[in-house]
Amino acid sequence: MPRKKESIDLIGRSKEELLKIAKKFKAEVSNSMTKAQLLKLLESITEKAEDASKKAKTQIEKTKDIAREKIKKSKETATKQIEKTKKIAKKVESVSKGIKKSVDAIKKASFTRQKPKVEPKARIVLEQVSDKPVHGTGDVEPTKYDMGDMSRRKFVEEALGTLPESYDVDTIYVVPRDPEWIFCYWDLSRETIRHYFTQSVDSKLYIKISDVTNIIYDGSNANRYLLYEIPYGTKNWYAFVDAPEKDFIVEIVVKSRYGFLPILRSKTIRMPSASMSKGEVVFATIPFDIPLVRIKDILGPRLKDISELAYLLSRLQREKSELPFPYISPLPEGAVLIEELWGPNGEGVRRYLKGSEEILERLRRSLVWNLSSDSVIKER
Amino acid sequence: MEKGYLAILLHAHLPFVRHPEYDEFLEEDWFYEAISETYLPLLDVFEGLAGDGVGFHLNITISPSLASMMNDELLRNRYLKHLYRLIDLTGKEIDRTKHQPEFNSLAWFYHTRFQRLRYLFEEKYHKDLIAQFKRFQDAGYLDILTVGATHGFLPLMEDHPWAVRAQIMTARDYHRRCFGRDPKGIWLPECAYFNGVERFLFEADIRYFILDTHGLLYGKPTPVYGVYSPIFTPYGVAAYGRDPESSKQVWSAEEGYPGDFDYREFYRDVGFDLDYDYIKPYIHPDGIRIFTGVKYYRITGKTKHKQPYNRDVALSKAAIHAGNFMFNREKQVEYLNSKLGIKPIILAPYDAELFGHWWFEGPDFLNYLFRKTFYDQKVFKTITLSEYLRRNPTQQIVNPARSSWGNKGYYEVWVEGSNSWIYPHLHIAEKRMNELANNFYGKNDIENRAIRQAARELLLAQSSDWAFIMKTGTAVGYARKRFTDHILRFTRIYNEVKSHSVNLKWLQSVEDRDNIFPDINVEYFK
Repeated sequence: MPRKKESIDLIGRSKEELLKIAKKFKAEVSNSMTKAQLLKLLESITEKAEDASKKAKTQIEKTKDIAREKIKKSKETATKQIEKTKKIAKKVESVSKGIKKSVDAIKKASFTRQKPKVEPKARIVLEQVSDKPVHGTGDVEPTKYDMGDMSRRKFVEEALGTLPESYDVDTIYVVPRDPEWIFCYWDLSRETIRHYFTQSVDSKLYIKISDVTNIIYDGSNANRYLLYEIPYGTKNWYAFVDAPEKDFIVEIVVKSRYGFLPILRSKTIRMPSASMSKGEVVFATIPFDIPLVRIKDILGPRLKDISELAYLLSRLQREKSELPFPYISPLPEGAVLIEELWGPNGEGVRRYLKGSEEILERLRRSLVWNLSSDSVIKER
Repeated sequence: MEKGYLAILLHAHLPFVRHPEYDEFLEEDWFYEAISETYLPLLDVFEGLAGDGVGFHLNITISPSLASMMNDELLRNRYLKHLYRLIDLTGKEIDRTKHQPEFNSLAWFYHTRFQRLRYLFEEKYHKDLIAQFKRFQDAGYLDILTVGATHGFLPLMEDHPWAVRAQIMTARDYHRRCFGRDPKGIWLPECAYFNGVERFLFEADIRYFILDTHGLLYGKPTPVYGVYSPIFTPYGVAAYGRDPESSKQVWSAEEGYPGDFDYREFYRDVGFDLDYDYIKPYIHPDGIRIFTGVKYYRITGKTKHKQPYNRDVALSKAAIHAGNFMFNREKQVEYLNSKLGIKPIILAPYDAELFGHWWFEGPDFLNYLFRKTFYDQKVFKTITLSEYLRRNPTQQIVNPARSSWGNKGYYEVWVEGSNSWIYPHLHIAEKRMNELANNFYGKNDIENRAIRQAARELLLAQSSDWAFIMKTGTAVGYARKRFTDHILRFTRIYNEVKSHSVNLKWLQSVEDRDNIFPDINVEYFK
């Protein structure tokens, strides 16, 4: 055994020789030490050195193994590829060594809180090819979408084209954007336009916005209406009506000899409310932990539509009908605060709405501004 | 005995941004920055509170599109790469600032902070943020609400009930998958309400939603307790209204806490401030300067000459603001209790990303607020919205008003000159999806697969974020491209299914790219 052999060699040497050897290893020695003490000291130094060398050897072997494995793998891959791919593989291998080095340096720094030795040119890549599902949580069976890391996947060119100007269908859409404005868009096929223009006195399209509050609209009995000629090519309209809680119908029409001839007619829309209102105060008890579908079942045929559930429940509870959960009386005494908080006509609410831009929009706008760049998009 | 309740609600949402076709993609940074500055710091605050035995209750929405990104292995690994790069940068910053003590201590602060974030994300949470939120939910601290599947603006789908239904039911399903239970509450995207949306909430057994203040106050009739108690809509689903007072205290750019001069300045970032060659390895590979999250200055005042940020002073200020917020809520609750005769609930909803990303000290503010509320007063308690309804099952019946929480309170932000062009395309796609679900689904595997992908493309196109970005007018390119791509992919699938000529190779690539909602249910589109 090497250790034994070295001990024997040392034993055969004089005290002066041993002192010299010990000094070579920078051990703390003095002339007063006996030969036996020197031998013991040197033996411990040798042991430490051997351990260190053994560790280093193991490390080297490990590194060699990894390197061999890597080389083997890359050789296997490389042989399967054409000459061009070989060159790329080599490049990747050299880059990955650089990356590993820099990641190790950073990892070490992370754990020891020491200043990391940074190699500025090295890029850090930590993406791993994972066999885990893309969606790692939940108990749903992995599906075909669970494909792990796809960052190096090549995507099929799409050539999607552009969005069409028209879908060549006859349609009209209308939405009450706010208490003042209606937004409307429409699409008309050429055939439809041609057909109606045969009956038109001026070959023009018009948009007609009719207030139909509290009436059954027959095309001519609107409470009032707005009429605009539609410029050629226009397909949407913002109409200022300023009519909270009024009902409207929008039509695309032509003028015929007999009056307006509707081509498209929208559904009836109700403009949003813009003020507070008084009305009957009705309460209901709806237990939170009983599913609504269960409550619907309890009410049975008495419930004509789920939009009446709360009112029906309230009525039954006030009538003390038999229900599996009790009616808990509310405390309505304090219900006089609203005017005090918001003013008799809700001025406080309007002030609040005007100021509502504040940070919500500013924040989101700045997020978008900070993190995006149109120029990048163009380059893509 | 408490006299009322405070319900803080954080709305966490980001549009689904995932681009495996690029090595790095600028807009993915939205997600990475939000993890570093908001989601992880919040979880860290929760850990501390729970560990110290502080009783707290918080309501948080996690939109299905955000949850999908949190669950995505590619994005998780890319985030880690992003984090390692910041650790690298801040290590370098420690050397660069060694002769500037006020900046050197900040460089160390950031370096240590990013190391801790890495530890939390990689080692402690194993990259699974959803599991952590679920843990705090299961322990009773959090009420997690869902949002529309891709944050689609529901009032503009009103004419196509299946589209509304698909947004809500898909959200319900994905929430269940993530958090192991059905959502009891929903944040209607942009708080945008139309009468009748409850029909779909009813089906999902979602028991409450949130309205902006006027959505309740302009309801029929105006509720007797204002926004300080929920109401039942005629469908039996409850609605809470936003308290304007507490919102303003935090939100307002002028009066709100985040504008305090001692807080960190958002706009001064080393990504823009430092020498180009030095910072180049840490910005976009194309050389575009970006925010790195390493910021050395405080707001200072309305001046360009900013002072160095002092973390200790900023934290003291966050504690003072938390105390002020608590004091104001005490007075508010006492007043409301005496006037209304009930234990009022004050609902204070905020964009989650405000806390940490925009207002760097926001998570610390919440930390102090919960601790002070727990230890220093007895007037109010924090509560979850579910718990309040459980304890107070009797409420007034009110028909709410059309509204949203956007500028001016209605739909204008999402329907105006810059973005209304998207709706004809969306509505056609919604009709076509209905046609695919009714007439073509269930006939053969490949077409079924294509139809499921068509559903994903439609959902992704519906995200209200695209219209919002178009309105802001600052980064229209990406939003337009995303919207257009999803509609065109949808259209191609529609045409291929109808002509029984699905291109499998292309379909596969689209599935790989837009991989949201792997178990999407086409039945909802019928």
